Amino acid sequence: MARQIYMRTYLAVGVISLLIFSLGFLLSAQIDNERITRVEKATQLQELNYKSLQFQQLYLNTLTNNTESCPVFELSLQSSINTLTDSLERMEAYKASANFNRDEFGELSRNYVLDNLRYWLFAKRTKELCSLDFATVLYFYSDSNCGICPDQGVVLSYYKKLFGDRLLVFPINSDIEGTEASVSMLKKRYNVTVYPTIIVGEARYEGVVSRTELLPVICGSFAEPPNECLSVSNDEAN
Amino acid sequence: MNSAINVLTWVMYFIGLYFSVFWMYALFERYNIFSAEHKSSASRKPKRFPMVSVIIPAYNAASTIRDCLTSVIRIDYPREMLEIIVVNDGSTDKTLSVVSEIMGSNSGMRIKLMSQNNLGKGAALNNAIRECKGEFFACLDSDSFVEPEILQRMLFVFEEGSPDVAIVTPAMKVYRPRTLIQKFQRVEYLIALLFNRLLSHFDALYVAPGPFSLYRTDVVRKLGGFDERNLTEDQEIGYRMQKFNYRLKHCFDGYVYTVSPETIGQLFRQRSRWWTGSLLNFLKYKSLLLNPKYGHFGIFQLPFIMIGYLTVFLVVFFFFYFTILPWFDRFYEFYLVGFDWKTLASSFRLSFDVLRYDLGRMFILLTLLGFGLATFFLAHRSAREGVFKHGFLYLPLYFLFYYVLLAFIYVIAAVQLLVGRRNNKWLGKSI
Repeated sequence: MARQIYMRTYLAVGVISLLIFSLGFLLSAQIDNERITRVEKATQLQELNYKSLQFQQLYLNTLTNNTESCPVFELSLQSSINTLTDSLERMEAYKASANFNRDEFGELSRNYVLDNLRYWLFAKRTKELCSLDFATVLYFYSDSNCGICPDQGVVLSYYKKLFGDRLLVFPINSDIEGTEASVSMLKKRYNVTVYPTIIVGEARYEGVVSRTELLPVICGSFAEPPNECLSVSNDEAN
Repeated sequence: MNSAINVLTWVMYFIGLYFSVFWMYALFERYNIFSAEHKSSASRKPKRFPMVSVIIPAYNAASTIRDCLTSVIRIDYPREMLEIIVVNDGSTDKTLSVVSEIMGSNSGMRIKLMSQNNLGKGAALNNAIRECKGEFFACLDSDSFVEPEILQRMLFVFEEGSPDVAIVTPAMKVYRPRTLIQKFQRVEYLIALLFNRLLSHFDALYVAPGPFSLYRTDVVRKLGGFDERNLTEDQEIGYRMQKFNYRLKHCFDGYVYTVSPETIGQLFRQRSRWWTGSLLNFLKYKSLLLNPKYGHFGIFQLPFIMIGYLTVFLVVFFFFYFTILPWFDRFYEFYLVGFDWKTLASSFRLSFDVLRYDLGRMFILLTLLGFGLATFFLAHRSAREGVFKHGFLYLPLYFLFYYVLLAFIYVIAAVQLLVGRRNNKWLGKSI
């Protein structure tokens, strides 16, 4: 029998498939761009928040000699840190599902590390200035060299949910160390050599600190431990 | 997402789109032809009635052979031109006595009983082909039942086709689906019918199903009969016909009903044999792949089959990567926080961020789903079956679960093939 090859059909189908595929592909690329834009906007907002906090601190230091403005300042700080945390979480989700421009997310990550460091310093200073009772955790991790780091992230997120504004967690992605000297400085100060490492107050803990191990550490850094410290301890005992 | 997996998914999207668009394009191009065929179905009768032999290989088929044989006896065809040959393939149950009883009560029919040691279906068919008198012969699995009009409709396809048509395949449906697995197969078979109809137009059919495929006897004899050591001899003969440039045509309205596997275990045994046999046949006839001498079959159908073999591994991988792994991760995270669901629930906030979804991928996947649904509805229409004839609750499971299940079966079959644990039961005990 004479065998037929349907070249015109194959080509027509190829063109239609390419059209549909291109639509999907371009839509994906556009979504990636929109994500970058949104994260950049969030970064601008953080910058504004930071400037506002700087002003408030200056005001506190210069125009008042007591702590009457501390509650307002604390509220602003908490709000800014929460915005930063949400924004960082969103950026990590965007980065995880990014199709194309992962490098740009890398640059944005650097920005977030810097923001976290700034806020961490701010929080430390404010804690002293206003005698506030919150715990700070500096969390060093690596995306590229640490398979167990996400475990620590999960435990820290859990405690953040449990303690709310009483616990401030500042994640530092150490992968940007090569381009960001401040990370190196901080690592040197706390002698961070492995990941994950967490700094609670001024104490250093290497490796994954489990939920049960971390609870007394966090609770110990409060002047007055919140009720959650007691309730979780009781749950553990039961 | 890992970069390699990211690239792989996009490649799969394009390949999936290309083949889906091809089938939809081909379907709509032939929609009018199919409609006209349906309208003229009643008048699709042959002008002459040649001698036809119906060969029924039977191995331990006591529970189904009565209905099978009775359905053949009821075929609307001149009795003197119909020969029935039952080949008892070393059955150890009551197959022999059931057949003898039916022969006794239908003395007007030309029914012949042959017996052999358990040598397998291929050998049983070859023994019968040597003896049969038909210009055409039909092979009928002993667990299948035909409609009375089937033979005339299939002979009509031979008549309307060219002399190089060597095989006409039937429209095979699942017999009285009861279990979930059977209902899945019912839909699968209906979709296969639609594809077979298209493949027939492209001269790219390559399987002559066990239930009532009709062969030109002299061609099969000339090509040496069935491959007795083949796990899927009905496919091997199809590939061989393609190799020797004979045509296989599909008869869309010649219905045969077959008992399909009821359980996952039975389905596994059947499909692992089919998949292994199919892969071995593909390798046996790999010289046809991308060979323009074989037209659409070599250039399009065989690459499509080859990609299908590779796809099953990817389906299993993607299933683990995108479905199982995230659930495992969630469970592990839950474990890390001491299963404290109260804290997690109390901090739960319902939020929706459209940018968290990859709308581009969703667009492609929804397009593919749309093609799948169109095929599903058209397949029912083509086979004159109601979409919700057997309920509708099983349908989401069919789309979400059935093909993943098949992919798992095929991957296990591939592993068994690699480690040499192939099931040769089909080939008979005496081999």
